[in-house]
Amino acid sequence: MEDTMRFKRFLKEENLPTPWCPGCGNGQILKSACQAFEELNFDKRQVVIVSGIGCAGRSAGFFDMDSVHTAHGRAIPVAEGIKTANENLKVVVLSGDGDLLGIGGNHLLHATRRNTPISIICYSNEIYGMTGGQVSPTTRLNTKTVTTPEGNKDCPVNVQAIIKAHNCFYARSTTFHLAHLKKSIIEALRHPGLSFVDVICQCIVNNGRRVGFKDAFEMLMYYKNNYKINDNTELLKENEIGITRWTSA
Amino acid sequence: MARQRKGEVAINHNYCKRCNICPQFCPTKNLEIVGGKLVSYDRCIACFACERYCPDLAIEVVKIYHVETTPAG
Ligand SMILES: Cc1ncc(C[n+]2csc(CCOP(=O)(O)OP(=O)(O)O)c2C)c(N)n1
Ligand code: SF4
Ligand code: SF4
Ligand SMILES: [Mg+2]
Repeated sequence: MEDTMRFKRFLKEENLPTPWCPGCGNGQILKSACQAFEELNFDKRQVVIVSGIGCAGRSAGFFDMDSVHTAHGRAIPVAEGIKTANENLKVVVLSGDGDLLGIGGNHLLHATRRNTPISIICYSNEIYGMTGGQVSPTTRLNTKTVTTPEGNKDCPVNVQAIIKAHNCFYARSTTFHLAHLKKSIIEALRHPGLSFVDVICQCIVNNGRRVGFKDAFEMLMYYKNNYKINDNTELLKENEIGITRWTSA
Repeated sequence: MARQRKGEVAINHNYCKRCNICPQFCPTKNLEIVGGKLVSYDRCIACFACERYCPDLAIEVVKIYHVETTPAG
């Protein structure tokens, strides 16, 4: 085995392949998280993974570490509970945009207010993937979904503003920019307070195809051409990805 | 001398979902889905793009090291 595959030690190989669709970006985020753990040389007994419900929410099931698959929207309070009970643990939330920002949005608001030292990795596929492609809190304006056949008329939630309002760590990346994604997760895991990594990722089956992408590769090329890396700003613009500057209060 | 391949692509067919991401990233057209199965040819330059972009851990690239043979002088 080449060194590039050492991250596999964090996964239960007998639980693979994942049930995700061919080309789904979720696997790429799962992999990047493990690569970040590997690079930080984490001890498996030192990390706990918490997920909610949804395609992204399945993530907790593949780790060879203590993991909790919670009820829909409740990953953050469970993670906060674990951290409060044992502050020596690294508690990492891996869940979807619908789970974290829709039904669980209130928990995010209060966890950032408390600045609980947990890391949250959000699979932002801009859709409710698991239930068939309904509009989600991150769906862009005018995007067609199963529940917005004429295009979404509501403004997507400004996650960055919520996280930054309480002076927590915010980074945004995509499943095309893999080196940047890994770096964002590493920086989030190193952050002393609450950290949030917003990962733009492809749901080809219940979102991409409807909006006109041929396959997952085409969505990755769209991320490549549409997003510019800016790691030297306090606030990212819409077409930027980056690790935003953070100053301790 | 024919160009030597620099990598061996090990494909785990139990994990591969034939999403067709890796063939489109490969700079040497070394990968292709043929008859519903991912196949690898002998043009690998060991750039690791396929392994990196595979969302399903189905690919491991192993570098091949060729020993230089220089005529004894
Ligand atoms: C209390 C409750 N309400 C609704 C559902 C149905 N449901 C399952 S997954 C999901 C949406 C998940 O969306 P997201 O978090 O974006 O995950 P994705 O599938 O896109 O990865 C919903 C509404 C549920 N399981 N439980
Ligand atoms: S429905 Fe979308 S998010 Fe869910 S596994 Fe399929 S591609 Fe991934
Ligand atoms: S390592 Fe690079 S050259 Fe070799 S098969 Fe993969 S993508 Fe192609
Ligand atoms: Mg989603």
